[in-house]
Amino acid sequence: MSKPSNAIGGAHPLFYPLLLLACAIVLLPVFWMLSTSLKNETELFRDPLLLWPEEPTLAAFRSVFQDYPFAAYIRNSLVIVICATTISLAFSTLAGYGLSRFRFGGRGAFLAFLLLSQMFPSVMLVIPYFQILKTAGLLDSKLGLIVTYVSFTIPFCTWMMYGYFRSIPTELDEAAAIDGCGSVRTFFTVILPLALPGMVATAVYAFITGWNEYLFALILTNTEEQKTLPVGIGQLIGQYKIEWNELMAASIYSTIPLMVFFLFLQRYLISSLTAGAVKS
Amino acid sequence: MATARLDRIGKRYDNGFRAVDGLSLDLADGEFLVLVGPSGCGKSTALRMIAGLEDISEGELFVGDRQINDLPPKDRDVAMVFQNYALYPQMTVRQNVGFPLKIRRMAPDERERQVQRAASILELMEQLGKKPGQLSGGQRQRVAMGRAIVRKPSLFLMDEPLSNLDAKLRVQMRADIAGIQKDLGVTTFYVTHDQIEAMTMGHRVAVIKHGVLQQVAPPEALYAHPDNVFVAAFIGSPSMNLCEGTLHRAHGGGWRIRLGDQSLGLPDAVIERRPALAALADQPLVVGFRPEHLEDASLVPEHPADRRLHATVAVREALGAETLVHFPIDAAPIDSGDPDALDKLGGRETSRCTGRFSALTRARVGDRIEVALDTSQLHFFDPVSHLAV
Repeated sequence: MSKPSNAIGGAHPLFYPLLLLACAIVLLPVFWMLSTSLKNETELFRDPLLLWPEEPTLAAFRSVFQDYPFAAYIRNSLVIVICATTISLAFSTLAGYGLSRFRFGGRGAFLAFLLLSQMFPSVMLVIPYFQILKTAGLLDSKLGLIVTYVSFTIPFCTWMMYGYFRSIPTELDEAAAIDGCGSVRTFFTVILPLALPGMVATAVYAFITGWNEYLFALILTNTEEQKTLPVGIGQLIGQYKIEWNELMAASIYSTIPLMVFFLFLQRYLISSLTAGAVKS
Repeated sequence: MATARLDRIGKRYDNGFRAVDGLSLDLADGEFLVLVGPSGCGKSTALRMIAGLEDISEGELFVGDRQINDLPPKDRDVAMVFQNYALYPQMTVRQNVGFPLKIRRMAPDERERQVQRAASILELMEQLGKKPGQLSGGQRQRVAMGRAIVRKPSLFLMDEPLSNLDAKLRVQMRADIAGIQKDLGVTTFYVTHDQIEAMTMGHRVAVIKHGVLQQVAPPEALYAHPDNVFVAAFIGSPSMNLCEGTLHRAHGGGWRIRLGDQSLGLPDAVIERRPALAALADQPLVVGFRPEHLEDASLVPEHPADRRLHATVAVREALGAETLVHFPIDAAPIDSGDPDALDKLGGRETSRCTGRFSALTRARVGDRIEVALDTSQLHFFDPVSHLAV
């Protein structure tokens, strides 16, 4: 099969049509989400289905905030996930660096443990977490969820950062040592700037994990004041009736921070930063 | 300004492996010492111990009068040029070169002055604003050197800095580095596996094998008077020809050397200069002769007839300025101990010899020729200890 494009000639004739088709398939649910959120009650169940509302309205976007403590949900999610991501990132970066540069007793076991801990199905851990947070008095609180989410993401984030640091040559540490840097300075001045792409990837992973987390947020909170966005949206699925337009509007609200996060960080995902450091 | 002294330095790993064993070296201020040896011989480990990147298991290390075994690298006042350059990729050339000065809190304008000075010595003025990723291999190498020289340290340490460069650039950089070292007068340890670099750049050369120092001497002395078979085979390119030979008295006085089924006459001076040699007569010895002491006999007709080898040309390499001719002789081959040498291929009973003939030679592959050997230039080694006689 020929490559999509070559150096001199243009793209394969089917390349763009196929690409457009793939985009359409992927974006169709998003489009439907948008279209549904703009419909009023009667247009939602029209037969045949309306692709786009005849009378688009922002009523659903407004009623989401009026009928539910939606602002609280957003605030809780933002606070919890940003804190959890920051803490996870800080610790996993330091741990990853230490694991990649130093040899110490228990290192191998620790690395294995990081991976093994990921093998637990999270459902198994709901009750133990509930008990622990209850004993610590952290039920129904943002701090409780921060601690929980950090415990979820740190092992894998550490493993990711460990892998990334291994790709940064140790000669750079040695050169820094000879140039007069102690360990701390070497880490912050020389190595950390090179680890930024890895840190971005890790932060994105931690953010998404926390942002979309439903089960533990549901179990570990009960007052409306403390619920997170996924839990709040889940409540829109009632026992007898589903407010589809509100549900879609809420979902759109929920994806905006993620998009902002991505857009802001994507320029740091430069993998070619370490080119030229070491002859490869 | 600093002398350097290694006093029985050793490196021993947990599994008992000794990378460096009892290495003692004494460097004068401003001396350029080359550590040379085959891959894995411990020369890089020795250098890293001097830098402080590896712990010293045994022995003591002195710079000037200070014992520095336990000092971390940043306090040793050494600068290092790495084989892979180890430039900071996120910094410009200017920042890379100025980094050691920045760490030492030099004022920015003084720092810039020093960076400019280093850059002009190394012809990097045009590159100061670029990042390592935008430079060629040779330029990166010079930036690495700039970062080392900008500090004016007590010692320069260079770990095979030229091995990643292409051949022509290497030749030019050899001269540049030697010139810079001479101008700056900084005591330098230079590690390489390339014996040509060793011969051309060092005031003295230390040959190392399996972590043990074989011989340390100026290049000419290593070439003319190697202490053992390993040094004899390692120094010189193409390598010295080594094979088994037997010394015996000729009918009517004088000495002869038998190599396989051939026998050549020896000048008396050879035996007179080596009193111990007579005691080793009539038993197998290690005999060595350099390719440059062989010539196509047809080009030197005045060469004595009884000092010629008869051989069939196996391989011919015309280099332009000279022609290398390879031929087997029927003498047992000798293992010099160099792990990179290929003499041991196929368990041969004959020795492969190489001669550097004049470019005028008309010897072709398959020709039966006479090879003139300057027997006054033979080297002899004890068959068991491999030490020079």
